[in-house]
Amino acid sequence: MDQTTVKKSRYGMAIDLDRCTGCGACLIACAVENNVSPGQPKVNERNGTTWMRVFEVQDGRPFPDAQTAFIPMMCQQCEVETPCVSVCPQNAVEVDPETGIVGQIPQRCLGCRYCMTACPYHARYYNWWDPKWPDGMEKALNPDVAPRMRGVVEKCNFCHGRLHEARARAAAQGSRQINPSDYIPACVEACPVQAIAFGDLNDESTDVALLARSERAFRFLARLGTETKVYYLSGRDWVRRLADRELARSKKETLHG
Amino acid sequence: MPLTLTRRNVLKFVGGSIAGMMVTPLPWKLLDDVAIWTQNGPWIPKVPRGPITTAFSTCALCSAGCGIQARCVNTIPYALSGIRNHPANNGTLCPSGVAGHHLAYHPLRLKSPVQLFRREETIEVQPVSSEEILGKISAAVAISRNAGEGTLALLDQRPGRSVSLFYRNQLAMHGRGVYLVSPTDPILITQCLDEMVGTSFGPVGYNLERVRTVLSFSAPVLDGWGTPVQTSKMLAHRGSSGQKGARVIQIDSRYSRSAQLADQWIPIKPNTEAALAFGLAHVLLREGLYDKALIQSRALDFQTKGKHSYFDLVGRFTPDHTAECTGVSRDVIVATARALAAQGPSLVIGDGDSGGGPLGREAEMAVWGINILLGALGSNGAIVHHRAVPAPKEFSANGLSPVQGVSDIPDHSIGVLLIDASEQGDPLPWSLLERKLIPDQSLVVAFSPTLTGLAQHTHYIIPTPAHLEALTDVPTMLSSATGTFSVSSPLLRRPEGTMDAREIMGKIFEVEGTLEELLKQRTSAIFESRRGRVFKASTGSSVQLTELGSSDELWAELTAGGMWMDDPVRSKPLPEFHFMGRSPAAYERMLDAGEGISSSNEPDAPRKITVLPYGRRAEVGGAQLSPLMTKLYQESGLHRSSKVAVLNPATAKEFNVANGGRGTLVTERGTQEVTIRVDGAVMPGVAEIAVSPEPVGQAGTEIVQEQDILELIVPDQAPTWRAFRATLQKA
Ligand code: SF4
Ligand code: SF4
Repeated sequence: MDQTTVKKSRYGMAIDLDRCTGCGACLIACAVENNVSPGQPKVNERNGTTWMRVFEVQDGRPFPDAQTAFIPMMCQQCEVETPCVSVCPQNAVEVDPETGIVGQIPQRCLGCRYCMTACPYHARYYNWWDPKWPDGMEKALNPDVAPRMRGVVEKCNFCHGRLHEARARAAAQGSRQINPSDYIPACVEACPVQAIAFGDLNDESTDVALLARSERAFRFLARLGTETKVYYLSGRDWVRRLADRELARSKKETLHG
Repeated sequence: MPLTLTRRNVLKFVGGSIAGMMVTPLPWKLLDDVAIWTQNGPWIPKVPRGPITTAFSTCALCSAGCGIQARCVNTIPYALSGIRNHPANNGTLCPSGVAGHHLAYHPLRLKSPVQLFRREETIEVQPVSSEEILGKISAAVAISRNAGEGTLALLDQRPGRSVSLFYRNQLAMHGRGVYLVSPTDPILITQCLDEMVGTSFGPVGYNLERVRTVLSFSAPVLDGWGTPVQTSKMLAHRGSSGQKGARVIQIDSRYSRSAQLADQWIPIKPNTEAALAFGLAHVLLREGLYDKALIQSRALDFQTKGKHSYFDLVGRFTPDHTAECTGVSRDVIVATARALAAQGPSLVIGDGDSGGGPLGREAEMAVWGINILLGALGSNGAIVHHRAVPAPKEFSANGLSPVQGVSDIPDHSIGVLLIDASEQGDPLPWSLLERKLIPDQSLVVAFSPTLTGLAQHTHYIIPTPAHLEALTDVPTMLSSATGTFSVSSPLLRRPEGTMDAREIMGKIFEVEGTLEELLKQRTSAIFESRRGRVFKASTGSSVQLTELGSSDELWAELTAGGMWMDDPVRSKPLPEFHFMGRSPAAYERMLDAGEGISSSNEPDAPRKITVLPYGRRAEVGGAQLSPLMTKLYQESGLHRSSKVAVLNPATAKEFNVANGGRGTLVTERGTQEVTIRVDGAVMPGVAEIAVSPEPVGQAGTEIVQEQDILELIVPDQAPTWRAFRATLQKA
């Protein structure tokens, strides 16, 4: 390929809810990778920061027939009418035309939280505290990701630091096209049961593109027309039906079917 | 028009300028810049800068022994991932492993020895020298040896390591030394099998590749029981993989993770597992679903004239009677027994949830009994023999103090208790240990990197290096089909005031040597055995041990994320054995276990609830959780801490407590406040409570005592803490 033209990508994910065991390795790997600081003593489910959060959901049947599923939920990377982009007065949210990734620029963010209100997936988090790590732990922060201050909003960006690293590696080899195996988000890498597939949805041969076309695939709140790039898979009807429910407004954690 | 300077014109000019300025980029740029400048305040931590390198090691947080690859900045690890193709974890890690490099920065980390003073809810610490503590221990050890006053006990929270062999060797030489492990330790489960066959049966493991049906007696089989590779294989048939995996049936009083993920969940009344095991055996015997010739020739107590036999025992547990004892319907009991026989090879796992307490000796023997009937134990079964990992000669079996469960030693017998909490281990109710101590005279010292878990109950703590600061070996996991050996090599420099457990014990017993020398001796013994294969992290593949040129080469591989795996051996045929063990009154003990103490059978005191404690491997009480684990606990509620009790809605109503409200649990040992969560999937009449402490994200001004549900256990109530009764009131 011509070294100067870059193939446009549409990065996306396919998360198999029939495989996810709710272990939370993805959630922790994400926080490690992106320098999300540990919770303050008063932290709780409403004011905590987890770019990726794993929800435990049940089908609502009583003991002993209840069924459970786990839904890892992060920024769904809306492709059309990206709600957070249109409401941000500061242009702090941008969609990268080369990758389709919805990026957050915390330096521009004023903390008005319009984007949090607009996000149908509750995938954005506000920093109620300045980031703080126990003594000495700053030495163990990821050098590729700057910590964010109190008063700004943050969210999953498909591990932007890793994308940069992959680009730098490609550049070192004289290419503008990254090697797909160089760009694997932290949550994908960590999952012990390989429940998360990641890659370029534009490339029909990738696992993620194949899975996105599978009969078991669905997207959350598809009726909003946001054309999210995070697909979910399940063969269980009750799990698929959750896709059309609004996530509870009052508490991020209540997503009961 | 002349410009007249009027007040109105000035105001118009100022107003117009302000309005006009709004359509220029100036104010917005200013706003933007202010936002950027304030991001760079000195109070925002700066990321480290320096050379980026990669290092390899092995995770020692549990005995899975996952290979880890660390990305480091200035040689300090900042991100861990699994080593690709590693036999234990194939590129993945559990949440504790992913954040393992944070443990060195735990807010309750200790870097110099301390003396502890427990106040009402807090702990005060005072610095003290290690010489002073070691002097006190040596004096107490001498009294124990010379004057015979109290035993010297060492509680090993991670048995099976090379240093554990060193301890057992030293304790055997001391004469009055006892080597203790938690009653939930897998070693004690294989001891039950030894009791049945009357001799050491040898190490056994599970060959999960051979299994089509797994019946788990509340073992967390799909949640950290085996290695990540084993769990992944067991779940392989889920989703779109199109692969085959074993069918898992989970017997559990709790709606545990394994119950949630299993193909079938069979809820059971708490503490009635032995009855269900007998009931399943009853169906197998009644329907002739076992190898009659083999059993009649090998089982010495199968049918005995004039004496109670296994046949008599199991005969009492008809499906109807078992259903009455366990709450499992007779149809499910019959169908499960038939499925085990028809959809074999089958395997029954009794190794319970380590936080939830031991299943008990009799129940474990009942489980081994079903495995024998199903042919899982013997030449072609899923339970396979393997050989012990080679060790230096001085650690031969007769030079070692025997392994004893804490509950097996007499009360008020321990004069000096040393707790090796340097590695994560199974939780243990302090009340169980406390009653073994000579009241007001004993000395209790922990070796621990943090002021957490059992270490909070001691008189002194000698700090040890934290995870990934120390060299240590990882013992073979119970689920492993062959012996394995790997070494966790340090990725971080350990603080000056710390001592590893071998150094401490060497000083107490005046034995020269270092942990590194000990592990190198072990590595030499393995190399000299000429057995097995070695996984090399550098190539992501395994080679025969014999392809390595020297023990040093093996050491280099093991300390860089490698793993030694023994060759499989042919399983021995089933020897002669007793289904009920060989202890006097074996029949009565087994019968009591089946019929006996179940919380549902005890006279129902008003307003009492059955508390079911549970744990997660590497996240249980006393575990040193990464500060970042607040994400799983406080910030997402995905894992519940010991401050949350989960109840069925009907039970919550009965006890007049509401979802999100507070409740107080009370036993003779004390009270504990919990937050109530209501979940329709939970069994009525019980409260599920995790043993894990809440992760500490930030250091507080004072050290607050851990709230652990095990503190409420009254040890006289039952030999296990799988279920205990408490009153629950609205707080
Ligand atoms: S892609 Fe990266 S930032 Fe997004 S959830 Fe996964 S680990 Fe977190
Ligand atoms: S790591 Fe994988 S299995 Fe675990 S919660 Fe995340 S997606 Fe699910």
